[in-house]
Amino acid sequence: MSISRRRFLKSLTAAGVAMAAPRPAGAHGEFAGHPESYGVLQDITLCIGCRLCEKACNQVNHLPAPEKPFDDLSVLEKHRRTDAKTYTVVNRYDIPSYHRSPVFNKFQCNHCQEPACLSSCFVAAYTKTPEGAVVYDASVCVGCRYCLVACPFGVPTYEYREPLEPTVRKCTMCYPRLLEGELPGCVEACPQQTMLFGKREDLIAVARERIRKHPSRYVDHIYGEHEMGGTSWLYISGVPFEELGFRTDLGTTPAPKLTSGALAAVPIIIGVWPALLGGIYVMTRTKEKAAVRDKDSAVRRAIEETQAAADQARKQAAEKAKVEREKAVELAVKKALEKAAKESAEEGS
Amino acid sequence: MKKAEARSEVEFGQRMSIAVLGMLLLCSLSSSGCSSDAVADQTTPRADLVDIGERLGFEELERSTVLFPHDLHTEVMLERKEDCTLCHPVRPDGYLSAHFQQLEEIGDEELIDLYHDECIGCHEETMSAGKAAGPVACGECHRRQPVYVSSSQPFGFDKSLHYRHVKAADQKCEPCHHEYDEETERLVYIKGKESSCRDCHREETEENRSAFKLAAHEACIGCHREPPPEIIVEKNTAGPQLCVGCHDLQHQLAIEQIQNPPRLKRGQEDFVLVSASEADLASTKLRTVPFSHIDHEEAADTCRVCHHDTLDPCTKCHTLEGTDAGGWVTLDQAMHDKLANESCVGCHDAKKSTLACAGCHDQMEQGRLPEQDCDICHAGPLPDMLASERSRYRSIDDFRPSPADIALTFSVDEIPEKVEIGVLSHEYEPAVMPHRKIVDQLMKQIGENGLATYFHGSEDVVCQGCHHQSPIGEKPPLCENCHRPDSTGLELIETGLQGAYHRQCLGCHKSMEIKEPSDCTGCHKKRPGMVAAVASGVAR
Repeated sequence: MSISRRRFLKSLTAAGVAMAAPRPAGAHGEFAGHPESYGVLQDITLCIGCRLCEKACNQVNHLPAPEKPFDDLSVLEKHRRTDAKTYTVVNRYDIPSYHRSPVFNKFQCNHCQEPACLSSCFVAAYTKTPEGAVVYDASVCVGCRYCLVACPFGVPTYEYREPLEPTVRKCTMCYPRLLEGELPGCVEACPQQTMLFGKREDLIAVARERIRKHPSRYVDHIYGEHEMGGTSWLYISGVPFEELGFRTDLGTTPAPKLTSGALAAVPIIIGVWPALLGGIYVMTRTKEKAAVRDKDSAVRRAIEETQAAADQARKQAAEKAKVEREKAVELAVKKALEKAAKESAEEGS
Repeated sequence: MKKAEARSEVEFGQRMSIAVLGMLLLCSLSSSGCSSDAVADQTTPRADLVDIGERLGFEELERSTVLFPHDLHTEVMLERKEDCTLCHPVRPDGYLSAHFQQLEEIGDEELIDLYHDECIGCHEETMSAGKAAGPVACGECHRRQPVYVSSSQPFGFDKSLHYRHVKAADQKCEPCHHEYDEETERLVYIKGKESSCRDCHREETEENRSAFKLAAHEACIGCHREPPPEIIVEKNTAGPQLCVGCHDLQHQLAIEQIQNPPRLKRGQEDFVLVSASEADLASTKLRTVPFSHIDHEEAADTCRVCHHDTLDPCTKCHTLEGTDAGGWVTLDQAMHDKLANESCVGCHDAKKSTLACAGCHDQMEQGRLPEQDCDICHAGPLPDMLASERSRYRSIDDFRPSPADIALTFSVDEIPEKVEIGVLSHEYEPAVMPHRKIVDQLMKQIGENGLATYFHGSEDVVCQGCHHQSPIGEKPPLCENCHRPDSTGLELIETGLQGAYHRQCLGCHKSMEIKEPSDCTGCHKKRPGMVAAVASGVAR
């Protein structure tokens, strides 16, 4: 993993920016594979289990020598899967009900049209090339191994025994060879020509033609035509695929589409939430302020009204007192005048 | 404050324990789901199971169905020196009723009561007598997880078994074959009108005829149990009365097979010129097809292989336009459908997968009709000449070459004895193919088979097994003329030379189950210093 922390963080930021760009949900569903892309048609009925494909794969990819040589067929006694040193394995299946048993099947990356490994990789270490190969760029890989979990076929493997710079390992459809105009190593090496390399669309036509010509030899299904949205590696078989360890529970939806709905919502959430929350905050604050203002004015008004009422009362009371005082004075004057008049009358009589 | 915290901790603990309990419960539920599968794996296969729920006419059952082990009850009955009539009443014609405790079918509700009363009654009675008895509790019969699984195989009459019955009946047909006479309302036998049981006895019971299943069980077991006087059979040597006798695979395989039994005679022709029906004949142009009925009788196990359930001629239902009775399958479809077992092409194609034929024919397109060669089959007189020329032909041998005639047109010297294939040799030395030995072996096998003789009689057609898609001749084109040595698979002919050789040789060997070669060096020795890979698939 030759990636510095700074570069990783930078790429994360870039990814974040890319994610934030608005993109309609479900846009993935429209992708029907690169036009004119290549693939391999593997006719399982033809394989004789000689392991020359494994040998060729090992040589062209410069992989370390295996524990047992490739012409040792005792390895077929045990079911094997790919590992960091093996991009492809041939397994043997004994099927008593099948008249051409045993069946041999070669296993390697299926090179999905819309790869789960690719969609699970947050540093974009995987590329679906226009030629059809799904290739991996170790220079950007951070070693999270999400791709190992994501792959429905259990293809990518990891160099667990590599302490310093472990990488993910898987079949590349011999992409470097394809660019040189050469066939994938396994395809070229097979003495039975079990595998046919060509344009994916042509291969589907060839597969259909073989099934049409030999309806009893093949089961009427091209594995990989639709599985997980289609793969570049296609298979036809004489026995039902589940008997050869193929997963038949995968459906036809490409892996990225399964998560695209949720992932497409991410930029929306990133874009909309701050505005939404900010708006709510602003609205709340405005409301609070208005409430405070209303309350203050109400209090002020109440005080004023009270004050006014009190002033009025005081004024009325004062006026009343004044009137009463005046009345009392008048009365007193009147009484005094009456007394004076009475006294003068008495003096006059 | 501290107290409140402590209390809330206790509450939290209680909630947690409830949650954990709940989860445990869920887990145990789901694991019990798994264990029920495990139980299902331990069920005992039996060929004698009667699914009682299936016999009732309900769309949905309230409880799980009852799988009734019939032979188990028969054995107990025999142990107690009882008779079948304990459960199955005798009909007026002397046969046992196939129904339980009733002569005719009764209503479903009544039937439920009958089963419950009689089954539980008998089990209780047995129990009170101190013997081992069947269940009386509901869930022990109505099992949600059945303890048995049916291994019953369908059973049919082949011509060997038919012959054994004809022999036992002293060449009489009437013990089994009958027709319903509407006037007298009786079953009568009409010579020459024999048909298969399924012709009248269909899936379901109809007006005046019982369902096939019912009729077969009542008649077969009835006769096996008490053969009528006209049947010559020593006591207790008649056919099976237990379910397993007919329906268990091991018992089926043990049934004595008569090799090449005499023909089933019903007035059929030995040899037919197959044409459209009289009504359609005028509108057909193709030549008629010579057909050896006698040879096909030999090759087929039953008449039904071609004639379906009726024994009518093909053209009765399969007309040029199609009929309702023939499922609207037209005559040409009926004869040429490569996927139908009953059609000429379909059945002949299936024959090509026998070991002697598969080597060449597995690699060829299945059911392909040679575009130039309709007259291989359509070799009879033209339709308008049929009436006048019919009498000229008496047997298929008027059309089929004799095995002596199918010798190749080349002299032995012109057939290379050995062919060295070295054009690609790199890691291995050239392969040497015993060419003439292969040709001789194929010619021998063709001559031994009447069907193969008919179709391989002309123009060295056997060479086409390998030298395909090229003119038949003394010097066929080289393989590499079409299959490129440096093929990338993107050419018009997608199979490269290496692939073509290996597929042709190994494909043929695998199809014919030829064990050799067991590895690469069986055909080509490895060059010194080269590491050879071993081809394992060849040997297996």
